[in-house]
Amino acid sequence: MIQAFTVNNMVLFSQQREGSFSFPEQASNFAVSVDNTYAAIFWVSLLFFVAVNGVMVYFVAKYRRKDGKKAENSPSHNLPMELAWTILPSLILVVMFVQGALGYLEMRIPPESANAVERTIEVKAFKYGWQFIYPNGDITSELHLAQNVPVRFKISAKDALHSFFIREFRIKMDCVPGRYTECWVTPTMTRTPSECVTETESGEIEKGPKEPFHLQCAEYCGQGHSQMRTEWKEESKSWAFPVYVHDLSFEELEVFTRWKTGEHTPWKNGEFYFNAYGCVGCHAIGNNAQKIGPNFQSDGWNIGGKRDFSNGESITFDSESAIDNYISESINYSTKLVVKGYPNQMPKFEFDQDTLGHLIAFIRSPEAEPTNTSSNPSDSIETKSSDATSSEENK
Amino acid sequence: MSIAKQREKLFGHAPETNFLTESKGWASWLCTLDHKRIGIMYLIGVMGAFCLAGIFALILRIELFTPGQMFLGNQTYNRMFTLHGAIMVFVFIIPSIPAALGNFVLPVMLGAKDVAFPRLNLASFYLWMGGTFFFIVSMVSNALDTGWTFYTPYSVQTSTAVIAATTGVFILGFSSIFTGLNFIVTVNTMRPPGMTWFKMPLMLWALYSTAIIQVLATPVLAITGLLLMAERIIGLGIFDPALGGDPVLFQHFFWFYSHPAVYIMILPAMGIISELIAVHAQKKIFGYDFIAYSSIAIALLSFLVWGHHMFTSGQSEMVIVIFSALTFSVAIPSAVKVFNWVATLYKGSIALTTPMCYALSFIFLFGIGGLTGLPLGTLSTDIHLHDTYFVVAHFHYVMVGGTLIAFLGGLFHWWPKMFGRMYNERGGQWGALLVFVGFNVTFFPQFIMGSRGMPRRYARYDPEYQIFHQLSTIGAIILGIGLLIAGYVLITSLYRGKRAPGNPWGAATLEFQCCSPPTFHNFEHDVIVNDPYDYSSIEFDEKVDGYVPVEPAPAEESAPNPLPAETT
Amino acid sequence: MTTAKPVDVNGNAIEGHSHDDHHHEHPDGPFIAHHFETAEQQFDSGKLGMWLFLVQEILFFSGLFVAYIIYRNHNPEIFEAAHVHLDKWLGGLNTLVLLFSSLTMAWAVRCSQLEQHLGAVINIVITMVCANIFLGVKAIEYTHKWELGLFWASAYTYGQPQGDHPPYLLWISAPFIICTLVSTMLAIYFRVTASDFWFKFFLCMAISFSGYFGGLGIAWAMPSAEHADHGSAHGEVHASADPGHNASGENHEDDDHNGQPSDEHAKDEHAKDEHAKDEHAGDEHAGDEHAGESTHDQQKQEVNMGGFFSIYYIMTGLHAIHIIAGIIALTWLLYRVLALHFRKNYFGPVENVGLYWHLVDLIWIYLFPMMYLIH
Repeated sequence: MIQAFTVNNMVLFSQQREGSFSFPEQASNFAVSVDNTYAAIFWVSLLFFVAVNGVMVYFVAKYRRKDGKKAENSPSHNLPMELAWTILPSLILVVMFVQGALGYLEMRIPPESANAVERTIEVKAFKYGWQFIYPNGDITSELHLAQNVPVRFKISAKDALHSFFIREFRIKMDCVPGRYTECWVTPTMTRTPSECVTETESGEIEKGPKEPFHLQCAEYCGQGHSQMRTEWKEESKSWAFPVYVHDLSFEELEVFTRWKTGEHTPWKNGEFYFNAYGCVGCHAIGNNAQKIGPNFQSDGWNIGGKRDFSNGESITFDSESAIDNYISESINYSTKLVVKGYPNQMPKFEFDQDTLGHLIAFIRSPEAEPTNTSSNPSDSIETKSSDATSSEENK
Repeated sequence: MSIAKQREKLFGHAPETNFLTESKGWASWLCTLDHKRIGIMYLIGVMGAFCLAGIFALILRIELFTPGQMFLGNQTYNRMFTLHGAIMVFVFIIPSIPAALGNFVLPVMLGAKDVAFPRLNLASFYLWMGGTFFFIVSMVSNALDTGWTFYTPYSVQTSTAVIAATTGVFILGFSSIFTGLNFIVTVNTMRPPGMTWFKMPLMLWALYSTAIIQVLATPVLAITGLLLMAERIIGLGIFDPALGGDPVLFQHFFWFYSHPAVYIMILPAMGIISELIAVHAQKKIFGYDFIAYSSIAIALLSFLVWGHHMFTSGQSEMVIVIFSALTFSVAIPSAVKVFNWVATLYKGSIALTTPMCYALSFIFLFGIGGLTGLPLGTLSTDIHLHDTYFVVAHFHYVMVGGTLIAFLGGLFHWWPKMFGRMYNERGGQWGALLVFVGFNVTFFPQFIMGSRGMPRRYARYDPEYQIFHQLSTIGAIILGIGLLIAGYVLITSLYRGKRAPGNPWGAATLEFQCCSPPTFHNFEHDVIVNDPYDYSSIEFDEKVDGYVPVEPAPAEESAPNPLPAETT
Repeated sequence: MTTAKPVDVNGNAIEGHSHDDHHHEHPDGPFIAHHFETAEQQFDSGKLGMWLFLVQEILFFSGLFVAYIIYRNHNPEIFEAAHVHLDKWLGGLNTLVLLFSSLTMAWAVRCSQLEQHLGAVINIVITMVCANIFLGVKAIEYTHKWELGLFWASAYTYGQPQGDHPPYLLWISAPFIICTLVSTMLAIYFRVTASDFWFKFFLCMAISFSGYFGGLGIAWAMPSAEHADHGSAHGEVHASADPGHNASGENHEDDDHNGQPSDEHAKDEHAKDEHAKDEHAGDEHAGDEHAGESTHDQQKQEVNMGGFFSIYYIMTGLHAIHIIAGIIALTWLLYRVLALHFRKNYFGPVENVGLYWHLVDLIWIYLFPMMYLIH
């Protein structure tokens, strides 16, 4: 029965993978069967719907009350008919249930190859962003997958409930704090960064002709819920949380996921961490942009600058190192100093001093790399310890 | 006494006083034990809540006209959709039909003078007021932003007024429990002689099934609310993963109530539709037994399917497959009802009165709402559709297209009985048409958005969905205008409408055997229990501009034979 | 169940019967409501209503029973280690007290049905005394645990040095002391003013409330069992969970998120945050993931020790609230029995309060083995 209806699907839902009126592109091993099951249900439902409502409209038209004409007599019960319209739909429902359950079990049980540790990507959801940890230890905020390679996701959340949803793959799994959940997929379509980000002749970076596959948070998690999705960011000319599929082997993905700190300036490294750890989810770059957290430029990082906190205290920067200390403390003890007017929602981060130094370099000048980069990142950290007392007083 | 005189007594002139004029002053309303007055107070209350939550919905829809921010910030948007959902569900829909309409019609339909516990009934109303008060507190103090589902751990973390809202839910829960308890006892013990179980109108079967769910499911919500409060106040640690708790347990508890609650909303609506279809087609209802039993079946099955709200929350495969199978089983009794309603129309004498317009649109909209439940119950497709706009559209088709439409149909149907005034039929029909069109324009595009992957509760969205959102917003405005027209028609009828006869529609149920509006004790005479759907002995009488019994024979026959009612 | 209507049924004019007869007394007696046809119908309605209310109560508690089962399933070792803190002798004593009160309650119903008013009064007073004894014993149990720091999950400080604590027992007993004194004084006052009815009423109340102190006394009289159990408990708990690493650090971070830190520990918040940081250091980095997880596991275990007591307090606490509600209902009954309201065809309130009391008893019958006995 399902087979019979899938033939009809062609009319409304094409088998092409470009997506249809009702569905996004079919980019995974599950997509075709999910869409076909849906289409089968759709056509059966439509049949019943048209039948019931057609009969209803016909009766209303035919038996409209005219001149107080009374209703004609007809039986008010008919057991065979009742049984027929109880049992027949039941049988159809059994078919639907079986079809759906089989498809679902396939989604739940990863094949051996995906189950292996070297094919497991850890997904960490937090307010409000995503982090992907690859088997080799790489961490990014972009999801890079290999075409036709089954991969398993080990999913967790740091704070509240989130849900890991990639619509082109037809997969969804809640991220529950305190436990791991999992799902798997074999991407079947490629989607590379070069398709999604292009450079114009004048050297400007622009949104490409295609969009990456869409990762979205599907479980309400608070203020930034709708920002936990793949989205083109005009201010940074980049995609937030994109899902790319490459025509490469799983191991070769390293090209995209690995970040070699030593090859870049601290500012560049800071920019990378800023994206990889999801800071970008809450802190806007650009003079007017406003997100959940403070915008780093709006008040500037100048000696003599001032920050007011929601607990009524404030801090005035009296030296370069005070600024560095303030930033590093805001990151490491995120809930302690909350800038006035912003919610207390930043998750905890524990970075080593190198990473912190890179981030500080970026945060102090997020729009463009400063020409005189403050030399060695560890410098700013060393000054921290000497000035620790002064910042303690400020709290 | 001649037949003509008796007829006139029963269906002609209103007696000198009725329940509205029986006593005067605020106190006579606020302290009343009369189920009819309590029903009307509920009606005013729930309509107020509906307007408030409806305005929230309109503001949300207007904000969603563009993908970026128009005028609501993320946080305000979240608060607003939370309050829209929570007020609609807890303060409006759940009490709408049972407490407002049900309170008014249940004892009269049954032929009783009042519900079994009138004081408890009034207490339920004041509990409703108290719960609503706490909701308003949570709205004006630090408006709730957890979504109406209060999922932990977010509801433990957020700084908004979760405790006030949970207190409100707790109190409203007991209001609902006591109403249900009252209805069960009333139906069991207050039936007059001759009113056997299978002579009860189907509305009573529906209200009875609803009451069973109210009594059995709502306490679980109460304890859930209590635990959530304890979680926030003292850090109890049952739901909060940071203290070793299990956030998914909260979802189980919540849906163990809230799935049956969906049937608290839809079952009484189905009861109303059974009445409207039969009366306004002047046709004996088709398959009475099947409709009655399917109500009970839905009530019982509703307790077994809560897990389908958690297909993606990491339960074991086995549990999920079982819940999916059980979910499909609920579809059958609902489908049986729809088939029977349509079959009732066969060879009827169908008048497209306003209540009938609502009843027909109910069948259409509930059809869509029910059938789109199938891809959600089917596991593989649900994984994709879960928590998208597809779900939003699905439950709005059931709750608005189902419950609200039936509520309006019932309101128009019993309005003459409640207030003794006829409304403007043409105006009512226009209202119904606009509501129908507006509703479909609002929610049909959401199915397509949903299957294309637009998640729910998003303040900002991908521009590719904009066209659907815009259609939806336009539809919402049409829907709002339709509802305004319906409200205007009803309210103007109060002072401009002509006097309503005792039986304006030709109904055979008992509430149309008394005058409009009924007197304090409902019946001026002893009730005569007949087949509630036998219209053969009722006829239009131009003198009273309403329907009257053709022959009083059953009265003479059955009166000296006081059959004891069947015991439970 | 329903009988033929005692009104005339020939279809003739019956108006006049309609408008105002709700102001009149029902032929079956002063306490039969106007909308009921007979006293029997009212009794049946009341009883069915009460049964439904009890069903509702059972479902209310069922949520907690489910939570208990799930937590027990997840952490059997915690439940085993934690339940030795509960004194099964005191629990057993309370079980007996409640069982006995059920007997006297049933007896009170029978007495009022037979119009034996004195018997009804005596039985109701004994029931109330038992309820108060139960609360007295419970007060000793609770306060003893609080002194040891055996609180619910977020406040659990067992094994840590306990500083000065407020006089828990005095706080809990204060309402009972006040109730007893006020009842006694009112009884004396009405004795002096020779108001016989109120004298009897407040005398009964004073006797009832004094049961609480009886409960305290009995519980004090059997402290040996309590302490013996605690001796062994200390050892076990130290083995399974290191008290030095209590999870409160984590709790306080969470409090921070809420923006409502708990006052009690606000002072040393900073220090504890630091401490938790150390434990979590490296959690962000994939390489250190294992270290992070094991720390987390250890914490989880300690927190759940409190988890057992979370469930214990919420279940027994709600049950105690039901006992208090029962005392209030019994007080109302006492008033009505003394006022001689009940008679052969009207004793529904006694019957219904009795049903409620049996349910409260029944819930304890389940709570006792689940919390105190199962190993």
